[in-house]
Amino acid sequence: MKTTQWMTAPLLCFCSISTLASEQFSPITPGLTQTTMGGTGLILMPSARHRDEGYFSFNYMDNQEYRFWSASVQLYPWLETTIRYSDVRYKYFSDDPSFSGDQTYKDKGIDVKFRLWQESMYVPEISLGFRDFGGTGLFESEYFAASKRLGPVDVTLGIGWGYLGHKENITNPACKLSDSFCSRQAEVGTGGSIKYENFFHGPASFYAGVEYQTPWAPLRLKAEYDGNDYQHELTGAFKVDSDFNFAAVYAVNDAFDITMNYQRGNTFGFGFSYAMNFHRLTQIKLDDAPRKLQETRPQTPLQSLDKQTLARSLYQDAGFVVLDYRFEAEQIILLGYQVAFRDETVAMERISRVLASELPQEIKHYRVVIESSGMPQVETKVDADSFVSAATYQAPGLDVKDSFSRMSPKDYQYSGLRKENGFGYGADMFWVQTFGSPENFYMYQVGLLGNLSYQFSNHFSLNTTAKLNVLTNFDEFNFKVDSYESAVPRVRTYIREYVTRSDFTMENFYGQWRDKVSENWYAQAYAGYLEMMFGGAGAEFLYRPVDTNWYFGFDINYVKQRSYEEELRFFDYSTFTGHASLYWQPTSKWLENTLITASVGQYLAKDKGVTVEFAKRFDSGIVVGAYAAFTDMTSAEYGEGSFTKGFYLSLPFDLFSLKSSMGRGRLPWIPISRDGGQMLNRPMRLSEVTEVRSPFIR
Amino acid sequence: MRIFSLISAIFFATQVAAAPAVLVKYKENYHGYTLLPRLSEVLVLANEKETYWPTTRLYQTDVQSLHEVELKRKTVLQKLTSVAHFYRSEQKRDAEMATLDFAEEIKGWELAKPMALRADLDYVRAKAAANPKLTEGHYLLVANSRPSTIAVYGLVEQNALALKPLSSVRSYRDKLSRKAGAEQDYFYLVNPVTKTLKVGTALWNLESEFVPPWVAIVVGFNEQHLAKEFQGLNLLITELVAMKVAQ
Repeated sequence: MKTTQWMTAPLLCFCSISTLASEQFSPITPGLTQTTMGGTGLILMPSARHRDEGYFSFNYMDNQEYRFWSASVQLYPWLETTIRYSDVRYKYFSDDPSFSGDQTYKDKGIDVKFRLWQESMYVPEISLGFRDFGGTGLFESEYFAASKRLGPVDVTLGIGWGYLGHKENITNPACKLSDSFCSRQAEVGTGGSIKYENFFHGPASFYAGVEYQTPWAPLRLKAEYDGNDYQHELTGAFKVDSDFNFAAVYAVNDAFDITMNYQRGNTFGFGFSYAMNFHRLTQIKLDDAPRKLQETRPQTPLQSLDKQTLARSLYQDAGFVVLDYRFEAEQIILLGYQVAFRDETVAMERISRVLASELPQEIKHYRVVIESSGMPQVETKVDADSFVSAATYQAPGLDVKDSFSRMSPKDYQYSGLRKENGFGYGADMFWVQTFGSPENFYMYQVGLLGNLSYQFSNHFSLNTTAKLNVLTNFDEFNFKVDSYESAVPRVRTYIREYVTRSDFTMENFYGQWRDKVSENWYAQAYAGYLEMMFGGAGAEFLYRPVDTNWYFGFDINYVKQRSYEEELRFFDYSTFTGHASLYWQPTSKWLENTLITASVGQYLAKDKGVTVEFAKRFDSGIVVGAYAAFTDMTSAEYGEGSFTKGFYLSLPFDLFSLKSSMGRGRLPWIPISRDGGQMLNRPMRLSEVTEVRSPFIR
Repeated sequence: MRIFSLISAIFFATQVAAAPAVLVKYKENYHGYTLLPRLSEVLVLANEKETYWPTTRLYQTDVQSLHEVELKRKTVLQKLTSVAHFYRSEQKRDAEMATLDFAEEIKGWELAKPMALRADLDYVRAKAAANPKLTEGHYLLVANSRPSTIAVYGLVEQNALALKPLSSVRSYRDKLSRKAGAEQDYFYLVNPVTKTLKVGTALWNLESEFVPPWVAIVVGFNEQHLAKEFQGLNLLITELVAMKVAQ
C-alpha cells in the first residue's frame, strides 16, 4: 500500500463525499452546536455534551478580537478532541516586520473533553475538559460541566479554572484541600508542554447556559453566563458591558451551521461549522457489477482452461493481479495482490465469483495468497461449494464470508509464471505543508516523487526516489536554521535547508533485502541513502501472526547525516539508532478500532526514550492518529515544544474516487518539530508492508 | 404384473407430489412446492391489491421452530411469575397484578418463528440478495391491508393505538397509560425483520424516531427496580413479541 504525504483543502475534497442521510424521518432533533473555540458547547463556555462517535466539525468563528479556526472530532463516545488556531487580530506575529511582515499573532491549541457520566433521568451528563492544555496557555483552562436536557432546552452548569475562571465568582473548591491550589502560574509560555502544575489552580468561576431548540427546526438559540472577566487577554483587558452572551445558530442543512453571537454586551461575532461523521462517509462508485454466478458451475475440463483469460478477468472484475499460480488436486492456488478493492470481503467475493464462473466443479477450493514487497502475507481459502451457495442465495442467512478462512501462507511451489528480476518504476505526488510559520501562515511544497528500482530477485533490489518540486512558497523562508542555541545535534532542524536546496533532489538510493524468514517472522536489511537527511545501513525484524491483535518488531541502524549542501556527501554526524516496537489493538469496547504502538530505543540525536502512537480507525477507513516521544532529553534541551508530538489524518483515496482504489494519503499536523525524539524514516516499514496479515487500516 | 408395476409407479409419483419440500399456509390454504422456492415465488401468493407489504410476514411453523418459540414463551412466563412474586414480596400489589395480567395475555398469543426477511414482493424482485431460496419446511405467510393501529404490548393499559402517519415517538408517548412497574423513560419499537429499537420517551431523552406502521410498541419493566436476576427481561419480551403472529 502506498502512502503519500499530501494535503488538500479538506472542504473542497469532502464536497465530493456524500454523507449518508438518516433513513428515519426525524421531525426535529434537539440540536447540539459548536462553541466559538470549537468543541460541543454553548457560545464561549463548553457544555458536558458529546456527539456521536466519528462526528467531525470544522469551524471558523470571528469577532472583533479573535478569529478561531478549529477542527473537532469525537474519537470515542466518551472523548472529544479539538485542535485550533487562534488569530489575535491586534497583535503582530513579532515586533520585527522584516521577520514576519504584517502577519498577526497565531496561537495553536488542543482541547480534550472526557465524559464522566452519561445522562439519566435524574443525573445530568457530566464531563471533564481541558482547553488549550498543550499550547502557550493563552486560553488554558480546565472545567467540569453538567448538562441536563429538559425537552427542547439543554441546560448546562459548569465550573472553570484558568481562562474560564477569571471572573472568580466562587472560591476555588480545591483551595480547601491545599493552599497551593489557590494560585496559578499566569504567564503565557513558549508552548508545547503540558503545565500539569496549573491544573485546577488559581481563580475559579461558576458558569451556566442554555441551548434551546426552537419549534422551527433549523434555528437554535443559546444564552450563557460567562465565567471569564476578560481582564487578562493577550492584547489587554476587554470592555465588558454584560456577563451574558447570546447566540443564534441556523442550520442550513445537516452539515452546515451558520452562527451569529453577541458577546459581553458589546461585541458581535459570526462563524460557521461544517460537520460530517467519519463513520458514515461514503462515495458513490461506478465499478462494474460483480460477476454474476449460475447455480451450477462450468463442466469444461481443466485442461481447456485459458489461464491468460482467467488472469485478465481477475484483474478486470476483481482488481487482483496474478503473479503466479498452481493447480493441485481439487484446488487452485493463486499468488498476487489487490489493486482496487480495499475491503477484503468485497475483494475476495469478486475473486471467488470469477473463479467460480471460470473453473470447473472439480476445483473444490480456491487459495488466494496475497503478496507484498515480494513476501507472501496471508492466504485465504475459499470453500467453492459454500461460496456458490451463499453467492446465489441458496438459503436465507447465508454469508459468503463464512466460506472464507484466513491463514498464514504455505510455501507453495508455483508454476514459474513470474519473472523475478527486472526494472520497476512508479510516480507519486507529495504535498508538504506547515501552518503558522512567521513568514506566511500557510506554507506548502507540492511536487512529484519518481521511483525507479531494479529487482535482482523477489528478495533483493536497488531502489531510488527522485523528488521534483513543482509548486512551493518555501522560498519565502526568512531564515534557514532557527536561532535557538542548542547543544543537541541538529538532526531535523536543518529542514528548511534541505527543502529549499534544489528543486530536484535524490530522496533516497539504497539496496534492500527482505524475506519472510519463518512462519510469522519477516526481516529486511538495507543500506544507502535512506531518507532526505540520513544515510547508512540497518535491519528490521517483525513478528506478526495472522489476525493477531498484537505483534512486535525491532530495528537497528547505523546512520550518518546527509549534507544539505551537496547531494551525495555526508556531514560528520553519525549515530546508532533503533527501536523495539510493540503494536496492540485493544479488544476493549472503550477503545474499539484502535491501534496503540509503543517504540522504545535510541533516537537520531542519541536521546533515549519511548514514542507512543495512538490511531483510531472509523468505518469509512479514515484514521485519526497522534504520537508523542518522551525521551531523556530535558524540555530545556529540546527547546520550544518541549517534546516531539504530532497528529495526522489518514484518508483512503477510495473516498475521493468514483472507481474503487487502494492507497491512502496522510495529512500531518506537527505543531513544532525539533531534534529530540526523532526517528529515522526508514524507506520501508515491515509493519506497513505486512498490514494485510492483521489489518487495522482496512 | 406389468399393470401392477404401472399402478405402483403412479402411486409412487403421487406420494412424491404429496410431500412437498416447502409447504406454505396462506389464508387457511396450503401451497406446496416440490422444489425449494425463492421467497418471491411464495410472496406471489399474497400479491393482492390490498396487501400492505411492509407488514407482511413469513414465519417458520415446522415442529422444531414451534418448539423453539414455545421454549421462549415458557422462559418469559417463568420470569414473569418470578417478577410477580418479587412484587408481592415488596408489597407492590398493582405491579404484581400488571405482571400477572401481562403473563395471561402472553399465554394466549399465537407464536411462530419469524423469518428475518423483508417480505415485500417489489423489493425482493429487485434485489437478488433479498430473494433467497427457502429451506425445507412449513411456513406461514401473513399479509394484511395497511393497519390503522399500532399494536401495543407490555405494562400498558392499551392494546393498540391509532396510527398517525409520519409521526414520531412523541405522538404515541402521550397516549400510553403505563401500568405500575412500567419503564417510564423508554419504550421499544419491535420489528421482526430488523433490530429492536429502544427509544427515549421522557423529557430528558425524548427521541425523534419515526414510528412506522410495521412496528409494535412494547412498554417494558423498569428493570432498575427489579432484582439483578431479572435484568434482560425486557429484551426477552421484545424477542417474544417479534414471534407473535401478526393478526
